[in-house]
Amino acid sequence: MHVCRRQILGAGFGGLFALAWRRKLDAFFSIGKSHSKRCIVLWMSGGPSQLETFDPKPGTRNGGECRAIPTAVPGTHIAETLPEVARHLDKLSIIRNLTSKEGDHDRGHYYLHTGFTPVPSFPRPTLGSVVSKHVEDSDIPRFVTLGGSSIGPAFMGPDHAPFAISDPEQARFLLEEVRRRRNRLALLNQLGDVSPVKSETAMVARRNAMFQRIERLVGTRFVDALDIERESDSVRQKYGEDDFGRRCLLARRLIESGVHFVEVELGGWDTHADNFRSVKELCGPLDRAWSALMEDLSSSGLLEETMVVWMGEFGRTPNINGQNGRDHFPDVTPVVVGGGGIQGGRVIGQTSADGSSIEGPSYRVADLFATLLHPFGVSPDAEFRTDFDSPTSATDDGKVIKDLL
Amino acid sequence: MISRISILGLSLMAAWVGCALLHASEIAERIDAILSREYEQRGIEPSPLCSDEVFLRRATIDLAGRIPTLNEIEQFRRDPNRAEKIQELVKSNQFASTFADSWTSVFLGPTREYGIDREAFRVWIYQCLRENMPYNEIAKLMIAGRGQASLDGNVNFLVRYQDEPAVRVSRLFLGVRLDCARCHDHPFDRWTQEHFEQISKFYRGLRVRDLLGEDREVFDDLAETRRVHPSELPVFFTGAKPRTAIWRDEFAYFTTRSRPFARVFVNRLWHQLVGRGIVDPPDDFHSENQPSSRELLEFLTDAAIDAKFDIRKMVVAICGSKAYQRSSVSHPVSLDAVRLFAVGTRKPLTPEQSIDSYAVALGVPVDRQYRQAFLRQVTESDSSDASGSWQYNETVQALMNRITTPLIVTKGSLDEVFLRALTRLPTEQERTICKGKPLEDIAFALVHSNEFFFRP
Repeated sequence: MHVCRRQILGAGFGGLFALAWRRKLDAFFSIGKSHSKRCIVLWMSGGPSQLETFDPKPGTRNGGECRAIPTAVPGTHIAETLPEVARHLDKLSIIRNLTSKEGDHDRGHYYLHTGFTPVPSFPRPTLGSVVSKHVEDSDIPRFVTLGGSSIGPAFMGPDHAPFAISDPEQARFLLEEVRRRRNRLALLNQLGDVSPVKSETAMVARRNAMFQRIERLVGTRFVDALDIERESDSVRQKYGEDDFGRRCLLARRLIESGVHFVEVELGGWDTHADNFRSVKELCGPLDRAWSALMEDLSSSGLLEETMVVWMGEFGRTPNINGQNGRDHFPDVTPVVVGGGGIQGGRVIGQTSADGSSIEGPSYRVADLFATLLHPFGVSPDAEFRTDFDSPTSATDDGKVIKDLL
Repeated sequence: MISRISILGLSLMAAWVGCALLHASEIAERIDAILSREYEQRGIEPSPLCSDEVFLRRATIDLAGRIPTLNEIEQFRRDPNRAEKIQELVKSNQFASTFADSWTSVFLGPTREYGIDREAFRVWIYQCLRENMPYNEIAKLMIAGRGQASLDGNVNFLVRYQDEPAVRVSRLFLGVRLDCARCHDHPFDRWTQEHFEQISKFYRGLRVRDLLGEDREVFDDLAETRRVHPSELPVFFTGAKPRTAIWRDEFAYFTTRSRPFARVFVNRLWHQLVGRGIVDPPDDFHSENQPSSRELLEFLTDAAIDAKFDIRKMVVAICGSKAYQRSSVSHPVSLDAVRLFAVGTRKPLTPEQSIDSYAVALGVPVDRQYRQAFLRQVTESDSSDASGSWQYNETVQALMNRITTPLIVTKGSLDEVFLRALTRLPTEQERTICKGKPLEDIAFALVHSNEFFFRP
């Protein structure tokens, strides 16, 4: 919270200091081109088990029945549940030493979406909204969520709210309905031009701009991108004909159409009971769709500018409970990240042999967010303005994880 | 010397007593007198009063939560008595209903949150407003409520902000943003981290527990507050300490009797009705955000205290003033003129006001389920933190949902469609444009126009 302290100092120096501040802000926005332009987050709702995915402990009591398999990176092993993803591990890095402090679903969801612990009176923007704010504007929505509930834009403003799609058909229908109203919208414009009650406030201007944006949107590639029926049967099968497979395919199409940030949800990871069977079932579609996504992104070259992140609310207890399940374990929160200027093929940190603790250095959630924002040209201590025009920083004193760059 | 002081004392007394007897219309007159002096001093030319049509639309939206019906337009045309219209509107249940909608957003935030019974809270406020419960009593029940979230709607406020009730209470009821003081002293004001800790202490005994069926209960752990050493007791700003173990009850009592509480109350009402606070934003009172007219704020504060926080009386007074009834203008005006309410302010319809206004404009009733679905769609992604501000925060997706919401148009002439939707007849130019166009298209264009969407 050193930023806040600086603010008190600033009050004393008054206008001059504020000016310097603005400069700093401007300088930050003019940072040169960076690697990442896009990002796909695969959100594992419920909190994924690290032991049956990216940090297996075969042959130990905590490891359970899951075996480890080799990957594209010599010496790096992951769980046998993800054989296809294993082949793409040269493009992805595993963070095994990330520790969180939020073991509740809602709080963990918030923490891993914003990089800050929740404070009800101080809503923070989700990662997608921050990215949306820092990429070039376009007629296409910059931030889209596919399933699940994301967090809002907070002080990034309503223009950076997610375009939330739970059912692509419904979204297409919505756009089609807007398109069908073209004549009506034209009449609305025509009457607006001659209205005897005119006012040129900023609010009216914003609303007019929104109407124009909508009219442009229905003519963009975004509309076609929503239609995965346009893909061949073999491609659709490659991703899987299940919800998550369809969403990942849609994510790829949206990214290709110009969307900058897509969050895809896969729910069901809250495996308090029957962990091993559940995780295995979840990993089938995950493995299929994620590897297809990696394959397509790398063959099209988009992976170079598209960051792919796999994460959830928290990890799960190494200790297996009485119901053959695993409970919430924020101490070790697994994250996998690659593409878009993030170094692939690395394993960051390690846990103890029984998985119960992190050995050696560990990273905080704020450090993860500093790292995820870095390729978008947002420095960890970049200053944002809240709705009340009070300054706050981009991360909670996060440090970029240098090994990932 | 002594006699001069006593004369001064007497005249102050007289002013006090005089104030106590003020009728709503007299309060309105005093508001206008104060503002006239401000205009004179600053050389501001206030805009004229708005037309009867605009007044009717403005007051009906603000006080009934929807645009006026054809019947109401006709009635008011025959008898354009503004004072009587205001009286009629505040007496209706729709007044309680629309204020309950607005205040639910102010006190619980704009979006639907899990874990609270928003509807129970809304119904509770609605009933308070119907009974015309004084505002300080309403506030007390929020600051120190206890009970079950589904039955005692008021406690949802504390359920919502159980982590840091002090921050919300100070902001909503005292206009103090302790948010910053959470981790450091307030940069511009006298609020220190210690104040924050002191106020937070009052809630130390507060407990929320889960009940069956997603219900919650708010109660106190008195063992917690009883065993505290006297030196550890929370301290009121006056230096006094609580005398019982139920600290937050005493805190509620002290808070609602303080002058800042009354100031924030009148300022919030003013902001809600006129469209801009005397202190603006309305929940940010601090030394560098002074009221645009201190005299007006202090006068209204006195009036509210004397009226024993009678919400309806204060609403009638504010709406009866010229400040409320000025016409809005399209040309740019000085910031001073805006800050002193010399021109009318246009503000966006709230989601509730807009769906209820569509119903009036199109002459079709809206059922509850449909209304809820609409509200969900247009507020889903609103995560703004500016409680009850008059900003336009709609997202692209929400606007798309809004304009594709199926709206049925009943038959009618062009004049009728205009009158229903905009409370006025079409101009010649508009007639020409609309010639030959399907009625549905015209109705669509009108209900989604800026003229419709922004309260005049």
